[in-house]
Amino acid sequence: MRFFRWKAIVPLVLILGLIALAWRLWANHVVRKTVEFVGTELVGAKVDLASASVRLIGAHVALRGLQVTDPNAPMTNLVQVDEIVADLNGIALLEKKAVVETVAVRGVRFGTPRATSGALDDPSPTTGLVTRRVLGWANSIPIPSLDLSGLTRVADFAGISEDSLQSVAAARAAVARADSARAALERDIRSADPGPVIDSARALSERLRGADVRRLGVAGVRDATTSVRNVLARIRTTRERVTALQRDVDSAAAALRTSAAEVDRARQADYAYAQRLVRVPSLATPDVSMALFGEMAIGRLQPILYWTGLAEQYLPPGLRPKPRPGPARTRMAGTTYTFPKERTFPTFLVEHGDASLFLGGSSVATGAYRAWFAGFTTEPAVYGAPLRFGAERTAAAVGPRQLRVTGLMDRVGMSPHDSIDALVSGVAFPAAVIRAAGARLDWGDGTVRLAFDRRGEGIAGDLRLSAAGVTWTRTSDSAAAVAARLGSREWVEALVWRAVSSIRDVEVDVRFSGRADSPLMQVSSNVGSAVSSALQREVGAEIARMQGRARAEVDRVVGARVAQARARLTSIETDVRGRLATQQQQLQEAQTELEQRLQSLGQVVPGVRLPSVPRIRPS
Amino acid sequence: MIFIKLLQSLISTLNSEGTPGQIAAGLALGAAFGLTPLVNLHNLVVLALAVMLNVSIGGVLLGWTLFTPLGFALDPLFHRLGVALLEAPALQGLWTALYNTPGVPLTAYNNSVVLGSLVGWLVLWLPIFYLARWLVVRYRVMIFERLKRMRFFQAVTASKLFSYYRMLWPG
Repeated sequence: MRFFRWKAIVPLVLILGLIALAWRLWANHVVRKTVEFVGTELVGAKVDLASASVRLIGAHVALRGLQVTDPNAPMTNLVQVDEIVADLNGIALLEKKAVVETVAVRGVRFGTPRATSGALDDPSPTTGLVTRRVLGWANSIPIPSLDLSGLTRVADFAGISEDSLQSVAAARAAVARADSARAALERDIRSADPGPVIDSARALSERLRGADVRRLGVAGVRDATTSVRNVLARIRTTRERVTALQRDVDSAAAALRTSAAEVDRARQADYAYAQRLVRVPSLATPDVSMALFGEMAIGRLQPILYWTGLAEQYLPPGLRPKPRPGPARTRMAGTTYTFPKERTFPTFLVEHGDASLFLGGSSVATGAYRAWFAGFTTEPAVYGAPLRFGAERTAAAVGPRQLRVTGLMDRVGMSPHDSIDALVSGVAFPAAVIRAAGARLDWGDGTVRLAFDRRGEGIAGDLRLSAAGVTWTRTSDSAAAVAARLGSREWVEALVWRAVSSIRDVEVDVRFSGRADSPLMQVSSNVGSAVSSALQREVGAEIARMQGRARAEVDRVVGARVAQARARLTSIETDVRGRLATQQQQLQEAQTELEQRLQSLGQVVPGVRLPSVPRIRPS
Repeated sequence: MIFIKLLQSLISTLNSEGTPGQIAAGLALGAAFGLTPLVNLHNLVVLALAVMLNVSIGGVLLGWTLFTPLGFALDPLFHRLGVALLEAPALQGLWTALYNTPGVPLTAYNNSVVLGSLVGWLVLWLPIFYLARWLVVRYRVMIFERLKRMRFFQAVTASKLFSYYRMLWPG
């Protein structure tokens, strides 16, 4: 029987030809769809590509009509590019990797309008994950209000009860812990009771007091000495046990002090809760600054968090194999792994990019720019060098005089290090609506400085906005403020307006720190300081009185419980410690007495040297 | 309709003039198309083998048809097997070397379902071959003689598809 079917070569070649034809017909479509899918996953809004052209020979790709929707404004493109032409490395393509050797980009425009909405009808769970995370963070930041309506209301403390206050539960828990610790210590003290040893020592000492050694004889002295040594050994063991108990008391006391600190923390939380009930805001400068500029600061910080989040997701540090969902198909998608290795091609790499571009129109972005980057890759550890980038404005037709951004994203090691330094001067910020003042702030000629640093999970940054010669415009009805009652919105607006309207130079400093996925934010501003002073002057005393009442109400409800907890905690320190100290004292006295007897026995027998007994010092 | 075609394929294959070994080898090769995700580079190699080697093409088609539902059903198992292999510390060096070798990543071996099902098929190849060969022998001895006297059987074998099939693949 023939083993090979040589005639089948013809149909086989035919099949391969059909596959090649299918590739020729469908490759461009597949590449176009892949770019759109990956882009949409990345951005969280539609990414459209008009056409793609792929040539395997020469590894040449041309993408035309790329539109990336702004996820926050579905009718606007974040960026629109007329044409991207790239030459890829052919060997890397055989490894399913895209290493861009040269790239040319033509017709870049930002913020262009879209013909259709770019919002996603049914986004996948992974689509726009970073955008959703950043929005979640933005919504979780509490922005205090300057609502002073509580000043005119009768304070209602009905919400303050044992059930609603944290310190009651904390005090109960502290009492339970103290009782349990005390019971355990009492048990140990009972089992280590030194009474019998002290009694034996005293009885022996009494028996030997004034004993005539000559009458006892050598055997009698030896027996007496042995008895003394035995009792002294028992005293030593008992003292060691009592010393160990004292150490246990020390550690129990440390744990109970932590409980006491928890009670204190809970009480502070209860005070804050009570102050919320009387609905008067904090007038501290940071809180007032946050109330005035918090919304704007969050808006400025969001893009930074978005890009670092994107880097987190798509530029993972280190060389660990990375699992990701497999391709969508009729069969189960499974999980696809990448196995990065140093000094090989990364999955995606653009080694160097340099661009000079001019943005036309009459927006603040209009002007000439130069941008560059090096080492843009999805696998920095494989590439072995950080991504460096920079951009500057070389000439401005409209908008900022100076724009300079430099940055670094180092994901080569396991601990990421990112830093961005930016300066934009001569910028006309969009006007900020200051609701608390019922006013609009027109910044005029402003400067923005940003310093951002991320190391590992921690971030630290400072965003400073300063503007000279700002103008304030009253947007609320100033006539209504004349007859406004104390604490009403109109009254607050009028007060804040009086405080801010004369300010000409504005400084806003936004500091952020903490974890990269949920940073803490602090806002300070000279405007906040002025408003805080004005509010303190006008209503500070009244607010302090109401806050005092709220605190007193909390104290009334929880005072007894907290005092009980404190008494239990201190009783362990004083009572148990005192008892153990007394026991140590009694054991010490018994020991000293017996040692004296032992010395007496040794002195009266000439030629007899008694073994010395080591002295026991209390530890 | 699909059922009738499957039946035709089954009957025509089992009753062709191919040896039980040829039919069994074709069926075991065709199982690759059913058990593993179809559009993958390894299946091109299997196709080349099926065409070039003197195995029953009917057996290949039958194997593909029979094992496709099984492939779908076993996907979770293949996924687990693939994940276990791809995450095995002892094999990390091998996978890393393969991943960075031109051409190999195009096989999508680094997908858990592809690797798991491919390994599953390779492991099952010999059992499928021997079982199929035994079944074909038993069928021809025990059932075929009775079947060929039945009208339904004669109708199926006389259909156009069967004629085309015999014309294209006489052996």
